[in-house]
Amino acid sequence: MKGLFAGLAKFVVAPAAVITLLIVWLRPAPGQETVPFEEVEPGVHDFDFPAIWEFSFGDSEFFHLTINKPMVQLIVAAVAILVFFIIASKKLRVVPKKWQFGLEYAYDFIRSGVARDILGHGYEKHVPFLVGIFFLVLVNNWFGEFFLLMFPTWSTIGFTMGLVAVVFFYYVAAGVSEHGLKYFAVQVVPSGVPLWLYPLIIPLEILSSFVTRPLTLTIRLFGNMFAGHLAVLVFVVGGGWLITESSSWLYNYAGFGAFALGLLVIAIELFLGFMQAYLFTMLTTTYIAGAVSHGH
Amino acid sequence: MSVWLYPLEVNFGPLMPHNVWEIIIGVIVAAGVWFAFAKFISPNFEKMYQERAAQIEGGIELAEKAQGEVEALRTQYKEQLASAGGEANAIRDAARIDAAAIVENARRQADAEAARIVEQARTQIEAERAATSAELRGEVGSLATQLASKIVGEALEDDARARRTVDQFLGQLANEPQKGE
Repeated sequence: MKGLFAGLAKFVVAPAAVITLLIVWLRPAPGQETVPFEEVEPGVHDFDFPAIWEFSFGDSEFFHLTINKPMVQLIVAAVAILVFFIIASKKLRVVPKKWQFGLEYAYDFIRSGVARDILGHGYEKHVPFLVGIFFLVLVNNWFGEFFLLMFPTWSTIGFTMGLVAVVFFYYVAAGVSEHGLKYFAVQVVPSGVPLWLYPLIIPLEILSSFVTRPLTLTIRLFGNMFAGHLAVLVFVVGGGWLITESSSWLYNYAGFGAFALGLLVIAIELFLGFMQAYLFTMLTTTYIAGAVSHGH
Repeated sequence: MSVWLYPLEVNFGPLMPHNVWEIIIGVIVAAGVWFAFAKFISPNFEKMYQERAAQIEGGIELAEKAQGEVEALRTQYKEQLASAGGEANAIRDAARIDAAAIVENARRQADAEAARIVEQARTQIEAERAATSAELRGEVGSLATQLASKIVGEALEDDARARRTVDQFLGQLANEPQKGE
């Protein structure tokens, strides 16, 4: 019994007291004006950022160059990755120092773990593209959990489209450089399928190779990052609003629970950000492998 | 949203890029990362991997080479050992043959020497005998003559008988040394 009381005191009463003290400090004072939830409500508008600098090309908003936070993030990520890798790769030694093990592990994770395993012979020439794309996706995903930025760049679909456009160009170009213009025939005419099925299969293959693949790459990366960021916003902003703006004690405590869950969601998002970067790179590699293979 | 989408009358929401520049910047950034990795970063990594592989392979090769050298040396040593044993045997055999030859030679020389000495002694003895014989024959002749003259001086009348005696005697003398040989 004594142990039970001690356990309760340690794991229930003390945290509850601390939380209660925090709530008392953070909750609105009686009679204080509170912000209505509609004003902070997380939503699609959280993915629109004001322009830091803008330039108009004609009337249409669609051609309006708007430099905002996600765009700066994307460029900063690319520059940071390149500067880091260029400096680090110049210091590579045959016998690695301690820091080099980590770098080599990261590089080899894609070089051997993805490129060599999927592409096999002749994988070396695709390694630079795959490693670069992996780290570009990864760093921008993790910007969603990086405390200074807290926004995953790929949840802005325009950037994801640009990225996938490059990936699409890359695997088509890889196929063309492997097979010549015959690549398009190789890609869409399956082998080992009876001739009478061709009218059915070829349109499907065209759709799959040149429409669905880039589309799913875009939607998967964008959707995961968008939804993940929205989930974090719901728990963190909603929880925060319940603590600081609601006059109901029940809501205050619920807000605390939601906020704690928000931190958990952020941890999951870290993992998902890695997962999506890995998946994106792996699918890209698979598409390249399909484009350069001879036995489609 | 965009003027492009007015005919569709559909709101794509967040699935619609805010503006075309996002796509352009996305392409530029992705292509730039690709280019920089291909041009500046991966060559360094590949060079390092190649050097490492070469060093490891070189080490293995060196070890194999050393192993081969050791093997060759051992074979050579064994061969030398075997040939040294054979050589010793050959030398021993040769020495044996030589020794036999030397002994044979020495014996032959000794035999020859002995034969020569014997021959020399025989020749000398023969010569001395001949000389003695000649001398004796002369002396015997003169002694006989003296004896004969003494005999003759006393009994010359029996001349024919005396001559016959002398001849007989001389003939005996002449025959006697031949008997002695």
